[in-house]
Amino acid sequence: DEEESKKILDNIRVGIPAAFSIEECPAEIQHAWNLVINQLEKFGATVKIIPETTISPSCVKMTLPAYYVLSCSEASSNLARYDGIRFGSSVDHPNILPDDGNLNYREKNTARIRSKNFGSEVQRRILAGTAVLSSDRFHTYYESAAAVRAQITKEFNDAFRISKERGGDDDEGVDLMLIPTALTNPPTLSQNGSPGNTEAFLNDVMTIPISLSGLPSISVPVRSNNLSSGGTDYKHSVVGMQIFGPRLSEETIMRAAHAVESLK
Amino acid sequence: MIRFVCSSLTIKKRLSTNKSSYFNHIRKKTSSATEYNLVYNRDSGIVSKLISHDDTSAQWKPLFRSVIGIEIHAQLKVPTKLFSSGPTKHHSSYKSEANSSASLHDIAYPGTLPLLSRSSVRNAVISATALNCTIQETSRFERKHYNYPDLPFGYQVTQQRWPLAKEGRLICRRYIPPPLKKSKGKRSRRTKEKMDDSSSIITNATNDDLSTFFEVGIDRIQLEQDTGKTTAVSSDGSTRYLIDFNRAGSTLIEIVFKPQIYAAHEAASVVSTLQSLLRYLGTCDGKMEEGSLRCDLNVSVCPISGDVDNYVSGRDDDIDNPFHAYLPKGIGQRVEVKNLNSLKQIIHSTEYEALRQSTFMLNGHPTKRETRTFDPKSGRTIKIRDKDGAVDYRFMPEPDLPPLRLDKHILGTNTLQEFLDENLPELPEQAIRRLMNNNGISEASALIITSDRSLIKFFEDAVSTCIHELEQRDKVVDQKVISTAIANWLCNDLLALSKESIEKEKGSNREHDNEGNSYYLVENFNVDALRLGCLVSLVLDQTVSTTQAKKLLSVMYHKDKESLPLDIAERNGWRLITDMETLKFICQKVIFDAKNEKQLQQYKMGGKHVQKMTKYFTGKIMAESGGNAHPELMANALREVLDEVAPGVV
Repeated sequence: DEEESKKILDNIRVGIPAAFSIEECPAEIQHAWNLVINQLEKFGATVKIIPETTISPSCVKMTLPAYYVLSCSEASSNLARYDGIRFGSSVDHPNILPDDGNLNYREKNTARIRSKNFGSEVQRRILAGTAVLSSDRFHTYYESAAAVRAQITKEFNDAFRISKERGGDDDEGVDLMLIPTALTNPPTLSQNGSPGNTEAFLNDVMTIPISLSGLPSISVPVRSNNLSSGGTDYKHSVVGMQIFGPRLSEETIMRAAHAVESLK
Repeated sequence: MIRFVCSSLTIKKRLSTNKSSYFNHIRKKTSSATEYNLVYNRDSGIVSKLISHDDTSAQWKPLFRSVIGIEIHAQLKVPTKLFSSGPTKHHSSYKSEANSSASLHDIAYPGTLPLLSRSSVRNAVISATALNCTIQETSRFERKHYNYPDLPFGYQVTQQRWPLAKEGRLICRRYIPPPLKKSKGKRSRRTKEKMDDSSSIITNATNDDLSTFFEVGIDRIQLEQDTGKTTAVSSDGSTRYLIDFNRAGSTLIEIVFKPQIYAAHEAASVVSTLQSLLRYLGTCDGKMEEGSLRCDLNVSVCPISGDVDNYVSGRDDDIDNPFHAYLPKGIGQRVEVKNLNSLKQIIHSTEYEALRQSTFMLNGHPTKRETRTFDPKSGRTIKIRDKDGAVDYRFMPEPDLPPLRLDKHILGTNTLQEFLDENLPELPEQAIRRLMNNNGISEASALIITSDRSLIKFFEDAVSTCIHELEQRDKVVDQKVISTAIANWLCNDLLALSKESIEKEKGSNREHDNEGNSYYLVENFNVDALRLGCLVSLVLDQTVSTTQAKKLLSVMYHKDKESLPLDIAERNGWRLITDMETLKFICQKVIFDAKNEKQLQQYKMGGKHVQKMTKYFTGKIMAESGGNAHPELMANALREVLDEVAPGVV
């Protein structure tokens, strides 16, 4: 059986991007990370560091604002269809809105329906998206964000191995990458389920660059026994570890995830 | 600064005898209180001011010329929508009842995604190539956002910055309005207006000026989606807006012309030529009144004289005009006129705008960027919004669609050129030249025949039939004679019969149907190419006379839709009698008939009686033969017989 398990990740190279090794990473997460690295090696993989020159921390950091610009823009566009005409509730007598001389009756009606039926976070994002798509901001915000997206995609793809069939050399690239899914512990119920702003930022930075690049990814829970002393006021023993790869590499990712799952 | 003085260009023009109606006509056209008597020339595009007049003539000074840009939206003739499999009106399962043919994607139902229709792309590529454009092997889709009930997504998917095709041109024949009847008061003025309606490239084919061409550049052609259709219904003082989404998501191509059009009639030519071309290609049915071809105009005026400084045009405000570089110095700011549905509306709105803008320029308050619409009832344009109310469309690249690459998957062939070789038909102007050079037919006939591809095939088949028939009977006739004969019978007689029978069916008595040449649909012809070819061969080898042939054609069209012309002729006894013996026999019969005794005696007297009596006998003989006597041969036979009977009579 040990023989068989060694075969699963034979010839697979797993990369650890240095850009994601942020100092704020809590000890138990670091510990889980090491556990998984060992496990993957046990199953036949070789693990190497991807240097900051290949995947740069500055680019990774910029993916957050880029992501919010792009996702809010798309949200404002995709939600434009909700005008209450074909579906959704309709509202009569739009007298709630302040008298805006620029809007006609129909426009006021639409505004009222949308204001009533969209939640506050959604409205925030729609407004932000609409603002950055306006003609005088488009270049500065949307186009820059798209450039960042293209850059991070390129950096990831440069790190991945190009198979011989597609004319690459076998030496440098990796098949998969491994990073934590979050850099903090989950928020407790007493925190009302929402993290503080810095925490949100730290967590987003682990997933957003991968979303922007359009890469397949999986998060596998890992039990970590090393609890940090002090600092945290609760015990935690489960950490999410993220395995991702180039497009169409789902099969390889599943094999690695299977290896991680069998950690006891 | 060079200053030109315009006085050398004054034009003398004859006033009509009815002076006050003339000026009333002008007053109707301008929006201001005509402190300037301005007149617009629809052919030259020049706005002139009346300087002086007396009872017999007037002097005009040309002041401005109009510059026009056209944007056309053509609905493509494809069975499904651009991004969904929902049926269009060209699909067999289409139901026209409101909102009964709108698929989920067409109404922007959440959870649906766009799927590009390949036939739309192919159709667009053919159209753009026929318009001499450079096809972009990669183009991209974008979203153009604005809020309106008939726009279900809240955006329109279009190709503003990366269009499918760029830099084309259209060669147009000059538009000639149909001849006007003599004005006789109010009633005929209305008739005059009505007659301006028809596109007369075809009907005036005999005009010598027909071969005047002009060329207009095309900036780009892009694929985009159509909106739904809004209808306003007013009752009891309130208005409801009904929206039909059947049309939403249909494929449009937007064709943007460069502002190289300078007169109202030129604008009409451009639209008319484009309409014919797309119909010919089969990519669009070009029905302006049904909305499958829509036109927006951009009109501005430019001072003619060098005194540009006299006119404050404020051109600098228009720096976002993409055609800035093409436009003449001193030109005013453009006004957009939207949603024009007929050639007549195009002409009238251009004229109205040219006069309106000229008036404002003369007032020292030139018009600014505006968007207007045309009201056909009053003949005026009405402002919708001005520049400050201009919409920011927030263009965003379409995230749900990949770039459009014209590859094997989309086109079905390995290369674009292969696709064009297989699918681009012979273009109309090429066909016209080929028919004129190879077949030797007239330009007028060629224009009519090449208005529809199936008509060209009909013509060609009829010609081959005719050639074959004549060969079978060992008759040698020059090919050009055959072609010309077929062309004449086709264009004059057969088309007239077809049009007449369609009008009877539809009960319409319009001269030229606005639904576009439907009487040229070859399927409607009750006489096919084979039968027409046979008929013409009978005329050319003198088996039947022209008169007999016309009767034959009528029978073939209305009564007997199966038999060959020769059979019908024999059944009815319509064969030219060419046998001299028979002819002489008939001549003798008539001459020696007792009833004609007196005339024969008169003939024998000679002198002036010879001609008169010959004519008399000719008539009687023709009648006796039932109209079947070959006129020339019969005349010869008559002469022979008369010489025998009364030799030496002169």
